[in-house]
Amino acid sequence: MDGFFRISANIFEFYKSTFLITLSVSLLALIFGGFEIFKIMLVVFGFWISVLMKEVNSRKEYLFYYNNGISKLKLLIISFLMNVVFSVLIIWILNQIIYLYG
Amino acid sequence: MVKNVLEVDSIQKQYQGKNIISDLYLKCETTDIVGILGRNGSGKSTFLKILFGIVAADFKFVRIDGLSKSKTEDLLNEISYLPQDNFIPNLFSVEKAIQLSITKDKWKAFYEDEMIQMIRNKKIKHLSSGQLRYLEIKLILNKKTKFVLLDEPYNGLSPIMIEKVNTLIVENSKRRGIIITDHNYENVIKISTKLALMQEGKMHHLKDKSELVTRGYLKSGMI
Repeated sequence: MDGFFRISANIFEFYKSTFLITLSVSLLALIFGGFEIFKIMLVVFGFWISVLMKEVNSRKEYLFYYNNGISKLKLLIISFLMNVVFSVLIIWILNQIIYLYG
Repeated sequence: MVKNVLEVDSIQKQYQGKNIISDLYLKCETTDIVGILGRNGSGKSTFLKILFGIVAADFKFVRIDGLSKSKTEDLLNEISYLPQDNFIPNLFSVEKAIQLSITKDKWKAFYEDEMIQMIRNKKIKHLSSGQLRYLEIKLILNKKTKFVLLDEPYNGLSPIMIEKVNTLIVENSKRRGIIITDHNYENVIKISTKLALMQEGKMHHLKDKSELVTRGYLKSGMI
């Protein structure tokens, strides 16, 4: 069980490291493109832009996860799915706020 | 004690029409420390990357305990790899890197190390290059994998730290096979149970360290 939790924690840490860039890109999209573009950026493109930046700036870090038994493909797919879930949750909360106070 | 066997055969890698590695064979068993020496550009690091699966080869055949391993995923739980460059994410704390890397039952013993106690509460980005290298080596050697690949482990380490690392490697080799490459040939020779020399992409298995001189890697008087 220790192994399962450790692998999950590794993937969550990787996801966290992408989130700041995803959010920044999405906020820029909100300012220049509006709420609909913001949603698309947050759910799909922001994450992959963040991954692209990692490819350029900190590619070696993938070796940390390799050594913890997680391949790059597995790391990216599970993190992306995590991003979809969290993003949809954030959008739902924002929609509720807009509905109540907008 | 279970004896594991890693066999690498027929590795071939070309780059821009030139053979970087050709027809390479290596066998490493539990308790072996295989020291690979060679000049810059001889293919040592490329070989380790191919073996770990992070660089594609034109052809390779890797077998562990008689079973063929063709995918990188198959090797991740069997082999650990210390690359030349630092690989722990800079934003992590030392504690986080440790907790994400090794199993809980090993934490207590890990934290008892004097050097680890000194850096335990620091961020990775605030460590000196020697402290970071020591942490990386210790993490890699505390994995439960059958084999460990160490690419230039002595980089940035002081003589006393090198001694500590040598003790760790020798102690670790009782439970697994280790392949080490470094330009610090004196220490590689000192701890290795088998020696190999890479020259222009080919690996020569040495019967005696004096072959390092006859094959032109060292000058006479250097060993």
